[in-house]
Amino acid sequence: MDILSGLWFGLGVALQPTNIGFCFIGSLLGTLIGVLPGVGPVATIALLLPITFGLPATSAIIMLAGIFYGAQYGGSTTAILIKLPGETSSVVTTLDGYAMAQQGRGGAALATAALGSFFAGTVATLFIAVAGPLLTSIALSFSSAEYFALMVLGLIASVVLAHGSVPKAIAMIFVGLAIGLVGTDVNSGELRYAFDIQELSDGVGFVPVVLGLFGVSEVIRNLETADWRTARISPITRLWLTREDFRQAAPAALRGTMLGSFLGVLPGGGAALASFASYGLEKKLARDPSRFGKGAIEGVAGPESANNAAAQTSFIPLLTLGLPTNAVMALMVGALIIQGIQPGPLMMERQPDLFWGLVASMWVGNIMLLVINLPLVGIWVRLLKVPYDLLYPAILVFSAIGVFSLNNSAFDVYVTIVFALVGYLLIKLDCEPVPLVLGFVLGPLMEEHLRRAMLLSRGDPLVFVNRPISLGLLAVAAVLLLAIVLPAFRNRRREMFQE
Amino acid sequence: MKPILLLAPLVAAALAAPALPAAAKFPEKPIRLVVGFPPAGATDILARVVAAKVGEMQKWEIVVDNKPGAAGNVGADIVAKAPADGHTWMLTQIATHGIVPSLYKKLPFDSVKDFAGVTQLVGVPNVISACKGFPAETIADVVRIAKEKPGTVTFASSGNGTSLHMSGQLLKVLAGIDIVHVPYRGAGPALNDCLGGNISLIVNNFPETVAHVQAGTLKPLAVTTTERAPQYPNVPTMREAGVAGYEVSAWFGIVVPAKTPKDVVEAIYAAVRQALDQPDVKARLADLGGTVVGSRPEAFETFYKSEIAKWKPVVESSGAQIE
Repeated sequence: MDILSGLWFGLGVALQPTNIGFCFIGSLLGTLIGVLPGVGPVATIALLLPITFGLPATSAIIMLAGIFYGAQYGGSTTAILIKLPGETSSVVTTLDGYAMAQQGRGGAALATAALGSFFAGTVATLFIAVAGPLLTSIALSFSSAEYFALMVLGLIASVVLAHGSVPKAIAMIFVGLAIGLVGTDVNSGELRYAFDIQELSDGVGFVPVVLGLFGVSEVIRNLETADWRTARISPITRLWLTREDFRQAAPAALRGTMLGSFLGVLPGGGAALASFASYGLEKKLARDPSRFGKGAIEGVAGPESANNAAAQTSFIPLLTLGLPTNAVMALMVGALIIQGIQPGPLMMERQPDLFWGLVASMWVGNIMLLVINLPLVGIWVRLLKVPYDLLYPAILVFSAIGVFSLNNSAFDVYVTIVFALVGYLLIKLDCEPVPLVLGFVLGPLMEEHLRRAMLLSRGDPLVFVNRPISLGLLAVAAVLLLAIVLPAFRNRRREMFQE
Repeated sequence: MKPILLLAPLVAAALAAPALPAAAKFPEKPIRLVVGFPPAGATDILARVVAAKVGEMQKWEIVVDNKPGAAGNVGADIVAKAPADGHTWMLTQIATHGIVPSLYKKLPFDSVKDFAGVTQLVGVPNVISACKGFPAETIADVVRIAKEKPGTVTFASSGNGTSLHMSGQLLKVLAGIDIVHVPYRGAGPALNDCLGGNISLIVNNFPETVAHVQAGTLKPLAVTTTERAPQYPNVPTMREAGVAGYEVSAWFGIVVPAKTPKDVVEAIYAAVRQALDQPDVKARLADLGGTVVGSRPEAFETFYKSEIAKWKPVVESSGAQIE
């Protein structure tokens, strides 16, 4: 069936009372677990899988999907208000979002995140319906060489993310790369740098690292100030956006949506890049880049739109080819198999109610999430009026519970503590943690793709330039590198001439 | 109120205790079925189907506990060290009680000594398929191409040391050809490269292939078991395709800690066997490509000991051993 009739049919399925109910439950649950530090959509969906046995397939998938993209909405809340990111996607939001909160514009930041996510979700849903097969064919033309080039581009672009000194940012990237090395090597199965600790066999956990590095270390830093007992995190002045805010945020949201929609389709690491790439892009395009890191609203609008768009389009390979792009999609595959449905290329024809119903329910879900999240802005913001000596123990306890609940393992809590100390050290040394996180996330992926590309090309390093997409990405990376380095040269030359 | 009266409920409970019936029969508390893999994988789905049926028929409470990590080793270690009272089971498979003992030079548990077998649940075929653009219609074609151009034929698997990797390795050893193993983190990325035409062959668990074979995006060349898969009547077995002596069945079974009393093992076996005989369970497992086995505890132990012995030379020849 063609797109318009498909969407109409899908709306009919999605607007059935049971499906609306499940969509609401999923979205609400997703928002709540997005707000709670540590617990994420993967753990929640895994917990709810047995319940889906008894539910009809379409309703079950609608609910699980709602949890997934709902978590993207909720995750930005703690990132903005207390610098505690729960997901990869909200790490970048802590930069300008938290800065905005400290200036009393927390309400505006939260509203921007919600509106940007809604816009991105709507557009991305349209993409799925209209351009699904096209985007899938792009995803298929990406092999390891292209992924490697993309990751290189991502790492070089991350230097753009750095506010302070560039050498320090590069050092942070390398520290992140080193930490990312811990774990099992995919090609040989060997355990690296795990020192025989079984819990490290799958690498250092992302959530403990990020919670420690950002959230807990921020708590330590706040406790240093003399009046921490009675201080509030921020005086709140506005809950909504000014016209000026809208004017700045809207184009950023649009660009973020485009970037996120494209990157979300790429299996194996595309979506992780989305928010980082959007932040870097906004900073590069801004008339006054020094505003970033101090509360530039584009730094919230762009990444939030990008990560929500990526969350929606990451469904595309699942729906068109039966290929999971990330851990949540892999769980969806399992949920479908349990229902007796085989996700694959024929799903659009064989189960049109599931396919179109899911697509339509994403749009319904995004509306619901906007309705849920906007009023909540007022409540969250009021939470910040709690005196800090009551707030910070709550933050620590919830973080510990969240981290522990990931694998029922106390080891993860120890990792959080270690990285909290590392994060505090970085604050004192005036080094930024975001490049570290980027190195930590992209490093292992880069290595895996580099080695696999070499394995597939039988040791021929020219494979990266022979393949057009890879060549293109590397060329952009080279240009970006020059753009970063040349101004420094120009300045040095000017100094030398003046002498 | 006099403080002493606050003790009254405590005294009442203490007096009532002997009147409560003593719980002497198995099981006394909820049973934990440990799965060493993340949720929604083949092992996990099978565990949930079996646990649900046994729980329903015996009125036992069975909880599936996912303890992923190190290809099932984290879960195995937990069960090896669990109390041997019959309340901790493990859903084991060809990896933990077949390949892993030869794959890792150092393990925190011993697959033979630390466990007692209960029953083999199912055997599931693996499928070797040709990817987009690879000009092979049969296994014989693959062998021919590999002999003409050694080192150019690649096969993808979802991980180093998995039964999928070993299925490809067994083909390499028995047919004497030089094919290159390309490991991925999971089936999704492997399928992605396969559909994109970057890999020659892919080895999959049976359930992963069904949708793609139906859609024509994967061309199954052979199944690895000795019997053809009912869902693919036209796909030959590896033996029929010309590789003599080839047999790989991705099997799953239940084990308990070694010192579990024999009568408890018998009780568990009886319950699971009863569940496996139900037509709806057979149908669900057949959907996943599984042929129900339901062997007795001793037969299962003999079986997996023979599997461990069988895979030792194959693992060693692959050079995949891990320190």
